[in-house]
Amino acid sequence: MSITPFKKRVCYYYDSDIGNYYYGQGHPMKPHRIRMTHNLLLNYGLYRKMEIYRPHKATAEEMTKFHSDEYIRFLRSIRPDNMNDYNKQMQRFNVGEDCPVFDGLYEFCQLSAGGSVAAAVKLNKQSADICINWGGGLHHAKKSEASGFCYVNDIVLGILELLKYHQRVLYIDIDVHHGDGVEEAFYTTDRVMTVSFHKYGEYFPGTGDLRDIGAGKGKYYAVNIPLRDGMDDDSYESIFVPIITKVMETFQPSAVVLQCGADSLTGDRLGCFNLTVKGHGKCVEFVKRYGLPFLMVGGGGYTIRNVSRCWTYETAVALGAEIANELPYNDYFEYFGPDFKLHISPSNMTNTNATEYLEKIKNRLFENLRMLPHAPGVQVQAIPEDGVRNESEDEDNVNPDERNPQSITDKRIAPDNEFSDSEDEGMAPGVGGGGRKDNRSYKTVAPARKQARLDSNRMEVDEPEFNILKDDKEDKSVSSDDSNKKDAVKS
Amino acid sequence: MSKRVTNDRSDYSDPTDGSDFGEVKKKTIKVGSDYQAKMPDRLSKYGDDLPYLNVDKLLWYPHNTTDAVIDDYLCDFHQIFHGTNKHVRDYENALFLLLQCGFNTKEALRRFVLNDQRAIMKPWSEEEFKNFENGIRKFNKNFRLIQQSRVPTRKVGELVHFYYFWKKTERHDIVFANKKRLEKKKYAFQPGITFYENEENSILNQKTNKVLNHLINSDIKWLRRKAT
Repeated sequence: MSITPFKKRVCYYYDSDIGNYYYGQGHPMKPHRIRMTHNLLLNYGLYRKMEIYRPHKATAEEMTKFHSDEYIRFLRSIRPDNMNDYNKQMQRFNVGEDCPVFDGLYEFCQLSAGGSVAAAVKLNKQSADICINWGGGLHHAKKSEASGFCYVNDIVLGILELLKYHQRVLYIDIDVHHGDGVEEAFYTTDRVMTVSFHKYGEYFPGTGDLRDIGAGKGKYYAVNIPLRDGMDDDSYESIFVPIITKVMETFQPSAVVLQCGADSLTGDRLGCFNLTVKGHGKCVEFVKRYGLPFLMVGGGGYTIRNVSRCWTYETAVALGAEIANELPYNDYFEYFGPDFKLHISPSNMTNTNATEYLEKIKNRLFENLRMLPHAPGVQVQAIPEDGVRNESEDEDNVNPDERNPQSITDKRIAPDNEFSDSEDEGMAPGVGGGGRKDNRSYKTVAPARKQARLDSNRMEVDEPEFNILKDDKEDKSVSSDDSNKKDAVKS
Repeated sequence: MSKRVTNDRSDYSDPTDGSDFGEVKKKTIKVGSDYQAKMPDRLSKYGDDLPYLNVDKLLWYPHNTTDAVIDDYLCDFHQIFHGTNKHVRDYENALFLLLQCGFNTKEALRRFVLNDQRAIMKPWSEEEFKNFENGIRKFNKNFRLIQQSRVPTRKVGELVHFYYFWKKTERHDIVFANKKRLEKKKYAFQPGITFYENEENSILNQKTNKVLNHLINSDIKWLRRKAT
């Protein structure tokens, strides 16, 4: 067997300017929360455990991999002092109240998108196991439209990058709002499955019905979990774990993106769920255990003290590091009063999600997932070999303050004299991928074999009719057009 | 209307039945080339062509230098920087310098003393401070206007950064301890639904249809500000 790493290699993207962007007086979206998170990471001593990058600024060319040229051109030109010349376009692109024009708007988008794209490239090169971009996660942005405080959809751009190396990418969204921008972008493809857990009913953005399941080739590849007010930790886990388990079994992704919107926490200024930081973090922990290349991004979150608590904790979860409940002294200490603790308590709000309701949703979604072409007909398949295994338990139990055995450390890091190379590490192929880090130590051969087997199963599926409007229940087969691309899958 | 829906939620039984929220037109995901992402044709590998041209700057990576060595180093750094030895955190500048010096702590400290980083951070003068506060009084949190007319010596971003420190200082409390702030305190401890139902139902009800189109319309603070 191959050597398993003791710790996940976590790579973190942050630009120290990000907290300086200001949406405007009274606007609930505050990029400052990302700086607060960063400051907590520094004071917890988590910073030194990660590879840290100031991300590049994504160019218009990168952004138009998804967005329309016109829309990006507009974002690049618009400024608070020339807004009046753009009235028509502002309306057309939905920029105004929800998504205001503020100083440095375009730069803000560049940093957010740059972080997620860079993270995806890093994962593709296998020079990190987990990448984090708390400045990303802007899941409402559409191809030619701003929406819900989001202008450029860094997630879609990141996933498009991952798709260069991965046949199937899973997107999970635990923001309290529906991840409509990402769902829409990949609504008709079977290479990206989008799974969104959100409050539904009289709530922004209004999409995310249980019956919205994707279209065309992408039918059954959009999964929506509509929830009611007051979701608590237990209810959330009771639906998150079985759904994600089933999704992993049936969809078998080779990379995962998790949008960690923190407005699903209790007491959020815009949210209506009752999750604690621990309950929210459990989702991260659960996904991490599959051991797949893992991109974590931010998202919503409007009670900023709790957002920074949450993302700090989730960074620690990614690292497998224990951190004290007592918050360390930090630049924004006063924000965390009166208790100055990391963890928060749920409120006494009513959970209007009855167990039967959740059960019903779950069963309905299971039915849909059974429609996937390679759904296991007889028996549930084993979790991927590089997934849940004792190794991850061991790993999480390792004292973060203890040093790894030298033998392990040596395998992961190149000699000191190579430090000068690492400046371009994110860029130059062969430097990041092959130079400093030893990739062999973390990819096992076994999952590759499994992949091949799985793909050959998929090829047996007949070519179905491509008809978006056909009745949901009748059309059991899903197109497998991409089966001829299977040859291209690296094993 | 919103009230009715709220009541319905508790006995809402069949999630698959189409009659829920019938009064609000259901929003759907749009299909077409104007909406979906164009998928990469096939799997590819990064050759010599890089996926983007701008560079991500490496600031730090976990090296096999022990935590103890780094702690000592940061302690020294901290002492030079602050003259005290209380809580020591990960200093980004210090760690970046250490990275640049090939994890040689002595060399990093030497270089740090050589060109003292403190000079880079320009402290706020009393005048800037006062002008900033005047600006806030006059323009509220329109930092662009404050920058233009009151504190031209700083960038807008610096004002924002400074604001988040300043708002938690006593100085802010003394100058701005007004009704607004007391109100804010009051509901900070009543999270979520309690607040919505007990106090603000009327505002929210009026705006309920707008909620689906604009996320900001679910923000009570925002609505209240607009109402006044």
